[in-house]
Amino acid sequence: MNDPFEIFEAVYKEWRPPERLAPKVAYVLWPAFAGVATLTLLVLTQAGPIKSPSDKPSTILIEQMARVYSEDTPKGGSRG
Amino acid sequence: MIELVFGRFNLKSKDTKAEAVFAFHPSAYRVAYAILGNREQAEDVAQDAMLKAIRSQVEPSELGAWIRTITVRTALNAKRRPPTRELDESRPAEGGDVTNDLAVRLTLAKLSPEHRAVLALAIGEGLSYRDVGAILGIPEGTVGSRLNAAKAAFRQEWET
Repeated sequence: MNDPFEIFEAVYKEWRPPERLAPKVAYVLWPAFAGVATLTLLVLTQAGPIKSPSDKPSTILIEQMARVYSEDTPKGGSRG
Repeated sequence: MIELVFGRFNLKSKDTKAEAVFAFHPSAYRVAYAILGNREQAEDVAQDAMLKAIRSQVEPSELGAWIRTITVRTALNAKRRPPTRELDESRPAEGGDVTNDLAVRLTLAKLSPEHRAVLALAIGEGLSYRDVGAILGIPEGTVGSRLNAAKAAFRQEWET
């Protein structure tokens, strides 16, 4: 293979984009990230503001999260 | 809120379009790399073309030509700016002949960006004169004469 253009063609076809997080991957995954962020905002919004220590905000938040989770998760069938 | 995040896009059809667009990613990268001679700049140009293609309303049958056109124009514009580094010292890909790879890149670096572009499209991509002309925005006859001039320049630099 002495023809420079044959060499050019062979070399050219070996050129590849660098291996790294392809924009394709980021593009495909971004709806999932957006979904998680939206769900988090929704949970935080529904938990409401902390009024006093007696409100037990952490308990309220956990309950709210559990409720949202249970609403979004299909119920499994009972065994037996 | 959801409307704001997701816009009016049909995600399923957009993913399909992304698949079609990214099928041309290696091709766009090679064309940009032939013109720019720099890996990072070539990848930037190729990714920019990918994003523009995804956002565009181009018909699937015209995606390849459209992406190559954007890539060539962006790369030629980038080449007209002051260069940061003329020749990338790293290997562009695993495998292949290292000596030939370096020789080709050194030879291309001595050519004009327009000659690099026509060599990449006509010889590297194997496109017809008509397609090359459409991408470069020149008549088919001009493609022929420019390709001959580019080949002569390439051969001369190769042999010196």
